[in-house]
Amino acid sequence: MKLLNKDAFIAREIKYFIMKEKLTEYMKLPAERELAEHFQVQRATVRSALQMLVTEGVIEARKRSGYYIRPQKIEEGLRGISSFSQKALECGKQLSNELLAFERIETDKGLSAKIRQPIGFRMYKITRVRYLKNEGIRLPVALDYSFIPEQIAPKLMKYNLEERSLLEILKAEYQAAPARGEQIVEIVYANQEEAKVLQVSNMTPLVKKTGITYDADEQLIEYIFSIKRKDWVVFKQCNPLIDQKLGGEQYGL
Amino acid sequence: MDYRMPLYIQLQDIITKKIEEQVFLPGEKIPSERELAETYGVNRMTVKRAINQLVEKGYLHRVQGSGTYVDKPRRTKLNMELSTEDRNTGITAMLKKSGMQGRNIVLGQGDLEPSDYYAYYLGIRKEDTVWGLHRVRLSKEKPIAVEYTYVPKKYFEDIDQIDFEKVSLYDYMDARDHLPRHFNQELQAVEAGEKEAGLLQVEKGSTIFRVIYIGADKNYTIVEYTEAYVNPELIEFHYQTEAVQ
Repeated sequence: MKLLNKDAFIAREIKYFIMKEKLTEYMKLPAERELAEHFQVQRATVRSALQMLVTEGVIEARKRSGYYIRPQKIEEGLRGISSFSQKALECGKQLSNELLAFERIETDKGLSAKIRQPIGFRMYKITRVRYLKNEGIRLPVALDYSFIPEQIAPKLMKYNLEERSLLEILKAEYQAAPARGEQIVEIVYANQEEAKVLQVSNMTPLVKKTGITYDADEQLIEYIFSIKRKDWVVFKQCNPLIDQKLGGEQYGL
Repeated sequence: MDYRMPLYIQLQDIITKKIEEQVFLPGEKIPSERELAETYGVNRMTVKRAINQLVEKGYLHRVQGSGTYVDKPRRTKLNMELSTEDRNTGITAMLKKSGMQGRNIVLGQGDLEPSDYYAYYLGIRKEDTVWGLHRVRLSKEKPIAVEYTYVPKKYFEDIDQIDFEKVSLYDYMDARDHLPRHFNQELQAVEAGEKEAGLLQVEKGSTIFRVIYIGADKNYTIVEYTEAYVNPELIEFHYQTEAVQ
């Protein structure tokens, strides 16, 4: 018995083709017929393979036109701590953010347990929406809640969080530098607020990232949870020494 | 929860929800049986029955003369930590660490036809044989992941003779001195295709995790390419982070 069905196999080969031909976002894929010829398979096999790549979010179908490479997702590190604006720079996309709320809170039982602090611990709660510009449309891609202990950043509210990155402010104005942390990635379903802000329907599957960050003295710097549109985010961790080996000598891409 | 269900089941549902939503925290005392009976207007015996079952299921425990407490710490999901360098990771190791019994079902194994895609990601020539292993990983007999693993056969000449329902792939790779120690990883939420949905026993089109990892051995030779489809109800992903320059 064959290990991989022909369509699943061809789907992978098309992914390689996209890479080799350096097809990037919004570029058109060759027609089904041409792909069938190129890979020496039936058109039905190519069609089924393309459908798999649509489900996977690699390409998208446009009516009466063909298949196009889907716009690139925002890449987030799995192990590195970096700010949203840094990510924006890295993926070369126009990203912006909107401050929904900036509050002073005292932690309740649930939050206190997560950050291992007593209840009533004073924190700033910052609610922001992250937008990505895609084909001229401003698309909300994430809803972020950041919690910063008041004691490490007094008077934080005087800084403009739409123009400057929070991590940068903490570093520059308060000498609070993240050193290590933990993060958890889960799938959740949109509640009313998330659905409204991210412009999706209730119960849409979303990706939730929870992160906690400490400085070198193990002092809490930030607790964050971020609700993201799943079709716009991918978590990646690359090891440069492995990257060098990809493609071996033959491919040199 | 349907209102026609027996009251003790409805009550169990209320309590487990409150535990999941952290209204009742691990180690915390829940309202007394008398209070619960009053709150929901049910018989004390109904409350007792609901709590007895939750004690049996490991959500709660009773302390003589004091009350009923939420069990701590209760992990509802398995903790998957793939990215730690220099450690034998993988699902088998993760299950062992959490003290759980795991089992593999081998769906298929063997040589792949020549592929540019796999040759590229394994860093080998197209003429080199790629050997694949398709497995369903079970924990407590529930499918937690479907894994498609591909390795360069040249490093594992006798791999076809191994029964991977009994032997861990990483133990075997370790024995051949090619244990993956360094990883490139990609984690994404995707829609479950028909095949993976069926194997994971979730609905087609529901959202699941896909992890692609490329593993290299101690000499940075790529020895593994794996696509894992993971049931998000049973596994969550944890990562240690560090500051980047």
